[in-house]
Parts: sequence; C-alpha cells; structure tokens
Amino acid sequence: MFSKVTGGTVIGIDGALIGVEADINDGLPMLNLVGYLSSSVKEAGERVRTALKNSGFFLPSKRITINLSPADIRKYGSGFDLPIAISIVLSMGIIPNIDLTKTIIIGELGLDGRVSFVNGVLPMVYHAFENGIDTCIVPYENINEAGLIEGMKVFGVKNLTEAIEFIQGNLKLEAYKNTECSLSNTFPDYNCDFSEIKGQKILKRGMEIAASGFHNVLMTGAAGAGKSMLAKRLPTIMPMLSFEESIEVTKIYSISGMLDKKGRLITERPFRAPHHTISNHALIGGGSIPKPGEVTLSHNGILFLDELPEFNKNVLEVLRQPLEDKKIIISRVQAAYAFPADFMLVAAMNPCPCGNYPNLNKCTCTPYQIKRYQQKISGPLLDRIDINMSVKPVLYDDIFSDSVEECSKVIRERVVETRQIQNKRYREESISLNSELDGRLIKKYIKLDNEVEDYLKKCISNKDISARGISRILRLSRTIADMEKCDRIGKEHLKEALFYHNTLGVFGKAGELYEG
Amino acid sequence: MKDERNDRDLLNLWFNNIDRVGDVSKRKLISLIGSIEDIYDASKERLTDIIGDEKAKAIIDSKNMSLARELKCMLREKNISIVYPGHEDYPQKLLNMYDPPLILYVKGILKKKLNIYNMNIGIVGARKAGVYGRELALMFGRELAKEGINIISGLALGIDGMAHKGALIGNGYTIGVLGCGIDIIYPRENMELYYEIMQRGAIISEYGPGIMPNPGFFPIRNRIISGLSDGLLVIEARKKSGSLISADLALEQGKQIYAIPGRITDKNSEGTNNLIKQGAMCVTSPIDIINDLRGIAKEYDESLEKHEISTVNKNSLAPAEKMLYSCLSLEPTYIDDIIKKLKMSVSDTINLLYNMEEKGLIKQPLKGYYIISV
Repeated sequence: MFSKVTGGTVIGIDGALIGVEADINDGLPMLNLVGYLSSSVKEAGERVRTALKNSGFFLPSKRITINLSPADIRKYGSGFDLPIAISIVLSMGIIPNIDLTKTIIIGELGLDGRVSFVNGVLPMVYHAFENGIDTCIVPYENINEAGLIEGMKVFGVKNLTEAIEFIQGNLKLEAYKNTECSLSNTFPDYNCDFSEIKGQKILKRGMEIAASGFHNVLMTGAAGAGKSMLAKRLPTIMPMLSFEESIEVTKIYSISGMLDKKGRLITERPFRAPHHTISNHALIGGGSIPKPGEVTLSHNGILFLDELPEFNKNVLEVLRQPLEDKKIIISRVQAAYAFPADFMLVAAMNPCPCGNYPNLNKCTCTPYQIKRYQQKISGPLLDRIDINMSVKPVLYDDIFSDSVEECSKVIRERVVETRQIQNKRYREESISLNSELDGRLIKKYIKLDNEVEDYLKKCISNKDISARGISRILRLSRTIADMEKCDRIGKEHLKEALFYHNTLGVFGKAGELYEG
Repeated sequence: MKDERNDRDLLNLWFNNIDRVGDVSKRKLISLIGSIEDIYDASKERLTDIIGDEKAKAIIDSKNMSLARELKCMLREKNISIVYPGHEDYPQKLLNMYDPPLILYVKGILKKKLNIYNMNIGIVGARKAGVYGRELALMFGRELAKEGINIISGLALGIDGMAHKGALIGNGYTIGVLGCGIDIIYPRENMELYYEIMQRGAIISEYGPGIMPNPGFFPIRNRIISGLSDGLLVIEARKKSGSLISADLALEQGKQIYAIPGRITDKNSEGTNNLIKQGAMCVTSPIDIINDLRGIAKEYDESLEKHEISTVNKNSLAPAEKMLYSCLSLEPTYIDDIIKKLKMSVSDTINLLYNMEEKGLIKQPLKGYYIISV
C-alpha cells in the first residue's frame, strides 16, 4: 500500500518541501531509502525501525521502500525521521489513510520513540505556510519557533505514539499559539546605553551617521579608547528590526541551531564579534552542506571586527564580495547556496603593533613596522568603508565627570527620522538607505549645486580621491544632509563627509607619516 | 690603451671599483704615489710594498679596465655623472675633510658654486620623527632655501625628507646624499622626492649603481652631509641617534652645530637637548641660522639681510577662528579636545577646521589631529 506525507529541509536559509512516500511490497524483508540522501538521512532507516518497534508497531516482513522527492535536492538533517515513520505506519494500513496533504511533519526520533529538537524548523514551516500548508507537526521543543508563523496550526509532539494517536484522531492536541509571536513594540533591552560613554563626541557623531545610513565604520586608536565599548552600543541607536527583518534573522539563527529553546522571535539586532583567528569559512559560511558564517549571522546587524590587522589577510579579502553584494553565494557541486549578508561592518584597530602611536614617547615600533601594520588593510577593503575615525583614549577627568551624555533613545529617535527621510526618497527603488546608492542612483538622487560641485572638484584634485571614493563621499554627505533635514547637499555637509571619509588612509595617509 | 689611460673619468671609475681594495688602501696609494695616473703606471713591486701582495695583484689584474668600461656605459645610459677630486665640479668644501670621497656619483646638477653665497646647511634628525620635528624641518628647509641657502640632507624618512621637501617648496637648491647605490631609491616612500630632487637639485652618492643599502654605509654617508655643509642643523634626535654621529663628525670638521630644543620629557628631543647642553647653538627660528651664517659668509649681501617669516595676522581672523587658532600648537591636538574647548557642535567645528585648513592656517597631520602650520 502506498502513502505520502510531507517533510521539509533547508536550502541556504530557505525551507523546501520534501515529499516522503512509503510503499510496502512483497519481497525480501528490507527497508530501502532512496532519493539523493545524505548519510544522516540514510541512517534514519535504522532509527525509524527501532523507534517503531519500541512504540509498539512491528514492521511487516515485507519489502518497504521509502522515497524522498524531489530527487534532485540533496536531503540532509535529522528532521525526516518522523515523516518516514508516519508514512510507514500509514502504508501498513493499520490506521485509516488520513489526508495529510496540508500537513508538514518534522522531527528526529530516538530509539525509544521520543521526538527531539531539529534545527531550521522556522524556515521549513515558513516555507510550507507560503505554499499553502496550514498544519504542522513538530517536535515539542520546537513549537515556540514554529508558532511564530501566524495562521499556522502548530502541534508539538513528544514521542512517536503521540504523533500517531494525534493523526488517528484519538488524541486531541491544542494548536499552539506563541504568545510572544507578534513583534512587541518595546525596544529590546541590550543592557547598555550610549550615555555610558563619556566625551568622544566625534566618535558618537560618526556612529550616528553610520547608523542613519548603514555605513561601514573603521576606528583607529590606542587600546582603551573605547572602540569596542562604542561598537557594542551601536545596536541601541539603530531602529528596531521590522517583522520581516526579524523573521529573516530568526530563520538564520534557526538553521544554525542558535535559537534558544523558547523560540522567541529575535528582535535584537545581531551583533557578532568573531575572534581574529577566524577562518575564511567560518566568516563567510561553508562546509559540504553550507552553513551560514558570521557575515550571515550578522545579517541586518553589525559585524564587529576588533583588531582588524590581526585577521588573516585572506579572511579580510573574502569580505569584499559580501560587502558589495549584501549576500554571499557559496557554490557546491549540488547547488549554489545564497545566504543574505547585509551587515554593517564595524572594525577597530590599533595604529601600530604596540598600540601607542602617535605618542612617540610611548611607541616602540619602527616606522617600517607601523607602516606595514597599517598596510595590512588593503585598499579595496578600505574603499568599502565610508567612515574612518581616529580615536584618542579619554582622560580620567572625562570618565568620572558628571557631564550628562545623550542616551541611546534620543539618538535612536533621530536615526529613525533620518531613515524615514531616506525610505521616502527611495520608495520607488529597490533600496532604502543611502549606503546602498550605486552609480546610477547617485546620478539620479544626488544633485549638487554648482558652487558645491566646484568645491568637491577642488577637494578631489587636492586630496587625490579615487572615483569610488567620490561616490562614498557623496553617499556620506547625503546621509549627513538628511540628518540635518536638508534637501540639497551643502558645502558644510560635504566637509563633514570629507572629514569622516578615509582620504587620509588608515591613520594619516599611509606612509605620509614618515614619508619625506 | 694610451687613450684609456688619458680618460680621467674612466681611470677614476677603474680606481674606485677594484675588487678587494678598500678605501684605506686607496688613500694610502694616493698619499704615497700621488695621482691615479701614476698609480696606474706603478710597477707591481711598488704596489706590493705599499698595500701588500694580494691587493697589488688585484690592481694589476683589473688594469684591462673591462669593468670600468662597462660601468661607464651603464652610467651614460642611466644619466649618471661622476666627479672626483680634481674634477671641476667636485664640491670644494669636501676637500677640507680629512677623508674626502674619492668619487661621487651624481644624478642631477651638481653646481660648481652651489649658490650665490655658496652656503650650505645640513639638516638631519630622527627617521621616526614626530609632528613637531617634521613640521619644523619643513619650515626650516623652506625658509633657509628662500634665503638662498642650500639644504643638504640624507633623503631618509622623517626629518631628512621633510627638509628636502621644504627646500623644494622654497624654490631652493638641495642635495640628497645617499647611503646606497646612486640608482637605488631607499626608502621607497621617497620615490617622488627622489625624482623631484633629481630635477631641481642633485642626488649624490659614494656608491655606484646597484649597491644595496647597508647599515655600515650610513655613518660614512653622514660625513659627506656634514662635509658639504657650513653648519649642521639637528631637529629631533633620540639619545642614541645617527644624527648625533653626524653632529660629531661636523664638529670634527669644524662646522657650526645648530639644534632645535624640545621638551625635556620628549624622547625625540633628548639628543638635541643634549647637544645644546654641550654647546650647540640653540635655534628657535631660521633667522638665528641666517644671522649666524652671516659671520661665516664673505660674500653675503647685506642688503638682503631682512628675512621675514610670514606669521599669521590674528587680527584678520574671525572670533571663532581666533579662538580655535589659540587652542592649537605644533603638538597635535585631537578634535574632541578642540570641540570641548570651543564648546561648539561637532559639525560646526569640522567646518571651521576645514575653512582654516583651506586658508593654510592649520594642518591635519594625522587623522583627527590638528596643528598650526608654520
């Protein structure tokens, strides 16, 4: 007898529906699984057989064939155990064949029949819902995650018997409603605030510009200047994640198995700070079945690279593509996997190996060492960073002063306003923020008055700015003008953009420090 | 063969490029035999008597001049000229040294009489110079060059390079003395400067084409810098600095030593402050040097004596500009500290700084740090 249920898998960060078919035939007793399976799925046969036996179902001494379709998608993961078991039970004919075409079944089985947690449930269920499936049977531990999708009837099962009883209709389960499902309107608590940083006005202004236009940032300065502290607080001045953004982020974390069991929707902006020993693959994603890397985990959020020159040079260079394309495509023989990677790069570095330059009384490095250290950041990477600031350690007096600093909320409100201006301007385009402006859009949306244009030309010839540099400066001045709520870019905005732009190299024009 | 013997350029190239015969042996030969022609003609026995068997053999073996001829071709291709004692363009000042260079490779124009007063100032200092030293080197180079004084330096990073740059800005004549082969640009950072000096001044070296820099060469090079100079200005030197070697050499050669004082806590000024303690002239303005040189220069034109260094007329500044200007010094000030003092918004401060920078009143030597321009 033939039966069919629906399971799911993940490709990249998106779910895919997989038909699980079972058929019991005369022949030598065996359980045969086909359909382009990875080894973790091939092993499902043993698990399912034992789990069925221990749940009181004895497999007939017949030839059982399981097919997972479509056959051209590589299936991996442990979520197929439960649908396979259920399709076998259905084809055994011991329970009436119930219509399960509008149900997706996901779950891993233990030998005793318990159903346990599976990674990537959210993207699978999300995809199923988009494809007209309205019911899902998932491991009990995953119900919160699956419950994030409004309109989906979510049933959590603890073991195989429960699942089968439920399908038979003998067991009544309550469809789970995730009460935390809808995006709350309260701003997530990051446990830190901008007001904790004393002084550093230039840096804070730079960060506000960065947050407003989603520009990449590089901070250069001696140790203890507050670079990391500031970067950590950056999410607190950025607008809340929209529902779509939240779902996207939660999906990524679901695949990576980094969602807490509560299955809360992630509302905090991701802040990822990988250590500088990270490998290429850990950064951009990889593996035979590609898993998201740090660039994807920081999607819609911040990728903070502390001690930038200490990173392996290759690792930094692979960042170039995601920085430009906002996504990363990992090609494997079976398929090319696209992961979103729309992150804001925030990098911090010391000016020299000992960290004390330009204080020559403390710095023990040779001119050559300093130059080489700064040159570890390649030109193309530097070109993709809009805001480049030097940082000076704060003085004791400032740290313990009573001065009242602006809190994150006030800054955030301004940032949100600036973003609204941008969204409004680009409503007919596929972009929404200034940092996404490309050459064509710059021509369309950034028009300079003659006077301002002449000034820009003068600066370009004086300061030796590249063509790419010009568009960076224009984007940045657009953001600054938006912050001041000005329609036209004025000279003053241009000057501020020039200040924050990296015309002077990492920390002063590379080499200029010592050059003749 | 007869012609070759009479070609003095070739003969000098030959004499200065004999393998295994060092400077000391060469000087010995010159002092005992006399001219290079005579050395060329001298018998093997005579040479053996003076410098020993092995070196004499090296001289005799190289007499076919194959190497020298090759070198001569290469120099012509690379547009390098040579001068040697007795050559009309050889700087006379070097002859006052006790070990004048036997040959100098030259790129550019080595003027016979370097300028109207024939006055040279050597400027040396730390390679890892601070903003203070770099800006002063630029300013002294510029102002002295404007006065018609030639600037001699070593084309190194830091003070040397800035002094050359200043001289070029001041439209003066400058000589870069290399511690490596004449066609080697070391350090690479100075490539642009190298070519500019070649056009408007001269680059000289005791070392022929292709010889790579060697730590031992630099102190030897320093003696040429001080030898060419009438006075040596030291800007920023650490306690143990190559610049102090130059100062010692200059002192031995009877040259005036000028030093720019610094704060006693600055490591980069320890050397210069020590020099002042030992009797070097403490210099706080290019005018000090100009006045001092006047005593040495015979041909100094008294009518040109009033050298003015343009200073900022503070009265012409707007109040905010005046306030900003008074916040700054030659010590780089971080922009946050400026904001704090001015109590202005970030964008207004940035704009003010940019305007002042455009007027040439201030500079941004490091990202986010500002100084006054001198």
